[in-house]
Amino acid sequence: MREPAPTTPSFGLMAEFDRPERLMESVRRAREAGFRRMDAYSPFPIDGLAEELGFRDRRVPRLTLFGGVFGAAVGYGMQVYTNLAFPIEIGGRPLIATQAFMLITFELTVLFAVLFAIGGMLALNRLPRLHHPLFDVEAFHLASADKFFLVIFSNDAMFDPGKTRGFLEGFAPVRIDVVEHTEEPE
Amino acid sequence: MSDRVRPLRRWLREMIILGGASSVLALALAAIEPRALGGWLAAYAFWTSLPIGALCLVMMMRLIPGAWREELAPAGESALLLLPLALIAALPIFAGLPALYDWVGGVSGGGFRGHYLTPWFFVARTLLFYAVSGTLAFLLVRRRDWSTPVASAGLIVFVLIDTTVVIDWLMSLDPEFHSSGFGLYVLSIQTTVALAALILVRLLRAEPSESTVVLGSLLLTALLLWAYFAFMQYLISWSGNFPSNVLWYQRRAGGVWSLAEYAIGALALAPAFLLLFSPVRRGPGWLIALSVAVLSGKALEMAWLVLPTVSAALALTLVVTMLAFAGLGLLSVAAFVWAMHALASLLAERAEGGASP
Repeated sequence: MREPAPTTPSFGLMAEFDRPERLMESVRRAREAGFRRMDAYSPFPIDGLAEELGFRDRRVPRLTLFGGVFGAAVGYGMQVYTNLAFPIEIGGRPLIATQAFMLITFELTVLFAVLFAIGGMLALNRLPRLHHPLFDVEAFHLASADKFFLVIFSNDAMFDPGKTRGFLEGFAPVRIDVVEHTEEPE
Repeated sequence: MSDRVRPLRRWLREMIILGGASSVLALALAAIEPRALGGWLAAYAFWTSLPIGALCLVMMMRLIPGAWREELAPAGESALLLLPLALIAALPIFAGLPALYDWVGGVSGGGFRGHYLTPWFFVARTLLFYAVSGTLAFLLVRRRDWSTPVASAGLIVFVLIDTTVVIDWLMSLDPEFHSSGFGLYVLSIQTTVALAALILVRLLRAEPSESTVVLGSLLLTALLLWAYFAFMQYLISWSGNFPSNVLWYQRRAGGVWSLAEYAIGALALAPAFLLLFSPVRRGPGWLIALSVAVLSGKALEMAWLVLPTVSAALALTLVVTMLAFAGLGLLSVAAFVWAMHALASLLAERAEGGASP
């Protein structure tokens, strides 16, 4: 989900909830109301929350598959190349010994699949990142303790500072905060 | 209720009669040509995988929580009650040891192997295995409060004794063949057979639930584990390049057995590949079809492990193999259906007893 650029007046609106069910319910109703650009934060994974948010990103699994295929090709190709470039006769073993090559091929398949998965996940999340506008909201650190947050981004087509605040108040959250953009360095 | 039970009873009786007749016929033919008893050994190794593999899975279920408990535990625990049948099926093998195993006449070199591979010691090891497995199964079913200690200690003991007896049953067919991974390789076949059978029973007995998807993932795990052990043993034998181990593979790659090899590989790897896709893992129809494919592949694999060593007339051996697979299969399925009912009523009785102190 693309986050708002600093050209919008504010980053978004954040509602705080004290129970995971309330967050799930609010996300569902916000989706029904037509909001698309939003995100949810909780101290622990909530089953089904990603689906409620409309998260259908398949890029990390695809990157992992690509990494695996790439690793297999590199692993096998490297062994074929080195054996052809520097042939050594060992006990009548064929030069291209597929059986023996399988170990390295397998290892590199796993290695590259994992590297692509982790690297792809970090890059797509734009991590590592030193600061995020949400960190300016004082209560947000509770997202790693016992509170649940819903943020509606200001670049949502339906976003309006006043109306959206009224809409969020309908969920009876603990509190609502306006999230401002982080100031650019001078 | 009785309307439903009566046809079931009749079905069970017919299956037992048919299975018993088929087994007796197989054994009678093997009595004429003793080396054809290899067919019985192959069927024995396949069908005993159900209770033996289930014992391993049930102990793991007791220690590892998750959806697989509700999905597979009832059928898994029922499969444990088939252990006595497995012991009975071992008796013809004890009787036919000299025909099956070349080491009965004495092994070359003698020494420790000469003392280890003697008929009485072979029988004693198998009996000890069934005694320990039976005790574990009894404790798992009747002493549920002890399940954590029984399952933790049981898994360690089980892996040691199971890998020991399968080396006796299958690897010692060729006394010159050595593979330290053989026990774990056969253990992976046994657990895969048990898992595929339990998945089949689970999906045929009741409507699939939300957590049916874990069954597909479990089957995939079992197949990958099998592929790992099967390939490891092959790779190590290939790299070592010693005549005894190469011969073992060569005997199993000649003529019709080379087709069997490809079929064994395809019937495990094609399901494993299909299980990578989530619609296949979620689809009960897919899972039933793939479990059947896996089971037939493993039945073929047990035959492939045993029969190439048996130098009897191939046609007769194949007839005995078919009869033995069908006979032990019908008896096992009938016993399994009975065991599911027996265990369910036992648990219901216990729940009632607990409610009224």
